[in-house]
Amino acid sequence: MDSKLLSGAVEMLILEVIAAGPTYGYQITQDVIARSNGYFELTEGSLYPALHRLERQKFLSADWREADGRRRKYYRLTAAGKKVLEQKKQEWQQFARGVHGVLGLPYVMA
Amino acid sequence: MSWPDDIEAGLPAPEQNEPPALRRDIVDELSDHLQCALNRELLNHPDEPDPRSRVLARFGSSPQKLARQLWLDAMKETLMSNRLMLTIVVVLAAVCLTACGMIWTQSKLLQEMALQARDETQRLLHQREAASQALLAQNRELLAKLNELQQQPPAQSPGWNPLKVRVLLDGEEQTPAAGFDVEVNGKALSESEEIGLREKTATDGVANFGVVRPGQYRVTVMAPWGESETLYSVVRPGTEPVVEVVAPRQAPSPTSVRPSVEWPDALKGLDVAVVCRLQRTDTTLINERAWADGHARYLLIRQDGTMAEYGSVHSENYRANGFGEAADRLVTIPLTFYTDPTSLEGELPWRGKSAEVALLQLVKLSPQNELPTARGTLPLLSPSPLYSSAYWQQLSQLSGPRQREPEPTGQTFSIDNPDWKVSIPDNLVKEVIAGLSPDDYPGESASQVAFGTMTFLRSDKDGNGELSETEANESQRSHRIKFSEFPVTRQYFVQTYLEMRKSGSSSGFSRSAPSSGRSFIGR
Repeated sequence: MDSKLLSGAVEMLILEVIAAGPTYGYQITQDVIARSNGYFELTEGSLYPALHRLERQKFLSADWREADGRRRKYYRLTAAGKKVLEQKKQEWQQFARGVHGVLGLPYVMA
Repeated sequence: MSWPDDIEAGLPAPEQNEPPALRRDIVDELSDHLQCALNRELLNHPDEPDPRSRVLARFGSSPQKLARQLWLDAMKETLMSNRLMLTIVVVLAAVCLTACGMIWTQSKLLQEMALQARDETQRLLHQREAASQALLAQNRELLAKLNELQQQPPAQSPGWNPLKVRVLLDGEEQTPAAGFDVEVNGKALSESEEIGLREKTATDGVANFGVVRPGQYRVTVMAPWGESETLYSVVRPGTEPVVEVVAPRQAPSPTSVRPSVEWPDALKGLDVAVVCRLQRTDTTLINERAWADGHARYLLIRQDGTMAEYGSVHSENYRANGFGEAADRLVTIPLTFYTDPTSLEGELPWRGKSAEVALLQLVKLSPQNELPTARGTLPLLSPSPLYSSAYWQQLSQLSGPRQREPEPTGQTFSIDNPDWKVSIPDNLVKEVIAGLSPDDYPGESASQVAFGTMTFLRSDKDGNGELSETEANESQRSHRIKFSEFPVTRQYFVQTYLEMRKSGSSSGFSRSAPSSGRSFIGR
């Protein structure tokens, strides 16, 4: 896929994946691939800068846990992150509806 | 090489404000990610070689590069803040350095200016000091010249001659007489105006008059007790005359006399007093020159025998009306005694052997303070023509050519008989009575008489009050004074007018005396 199309939605996808429960970086990439049926593949170069940015913006919080003898960083959505996610979802729907309308494609609300 | 070592190699050198766990967190997170990816790779493709390279290839970017980017993102604010702080510090340091430089430059400039100002001030001070020294030297030189000139006899110029008067006390030793008054009056040959100089003799008996023009001068020497002598001295050109005068050694011995008045019956009870003048008639002879006492003494003698002495006696409009000395006995005004009187109890201290006592005036005394307040109608002491300089024309029509009224003839007394009884001539008694009752004046006599009318303007105490019209009309009536009928019941402000009237004539003139008002309390 065109990476430019994905770049605007990376943060929304990350927030949505984390909204399901605390998770870590590698798992997030796998979830995005699985939930998009292999269509989206988040590169690490996009994922980790976005995660750290959202953490600095207080939309995510993180804690370290032990897993397989290593330290692993788990992310979870904050209240502010939930609000931002809802807002981004609405914006995306309006965007998609507009794009579909222009293209003459049928739009089905999820 | 393990994942952490591999990743950590890409991180920049530690910064001063770097959070302590930042590097480890980045390395651990990325290592965990790569390890998970490697585990999955081994699980999904256990037979394929070099799983690590495949994991790295799928990573999409160099782990070192990503770690570096994450570290930079985390440290961005700190780094920016550090750089900003550094920039501010650098700018501040630059500003400070610039300011210091400017201040240093300014201080250098000020220092230079101060040094210049100091040098300039010192230069000026030196100049001033030099000028002062020069001026001082010049002054000293001038002073020295002046002293030389003073020591030289001033009669070098024939136009000016030094004049000194030396007074010596009578006796064999002829010691210097100090404290004597010396007057020089006269006219220089080349001058039209008379000069008058007065000096006191010093301890050497000399009165120095400096230099005078050649001429004839009148020199009067007066002893401290009043005796004086006058002589004439001619100052010739080129001479330095020293006039020597021998004065009495001491004042005449003091004694006391008892002046009194022989009051005629006609005047008794009229409450009038006599003002008389006492003049010493004898002189002290020194080297055949007479030293006389020209000072007159004035006595007021009451009918009860008490006396008061005055330094001098004048009328207030004596000069204003221009009647000369005669005005003292012609003008109806309050007498003014310029000096406070000395009351005497019958005896009068006297120096000299004889005296002439002249009757000057008969006066009405104020009942309040027994000082003469007005002379009312004045008797003439002699039937002489009136004299006036100011009213010469008018008076001459009345009285003929101007003449000075003669001085009253006095009676002479000696200290051999200290009881000096002054008698009042009969004709004077008659004129006094006539003067006190002007309506009864006989009228056709050839003599003129001056008598006063007074207008009494009733006023308040300070003389500035305003009168009502009725009061003013009533109070401005003219009265001829008859002292015996004078009903003084309150305080008056007396304004006097002079009325000169020729006997038998209705034509006359009046003249207001210049503000000769005087207030007194009536009985």
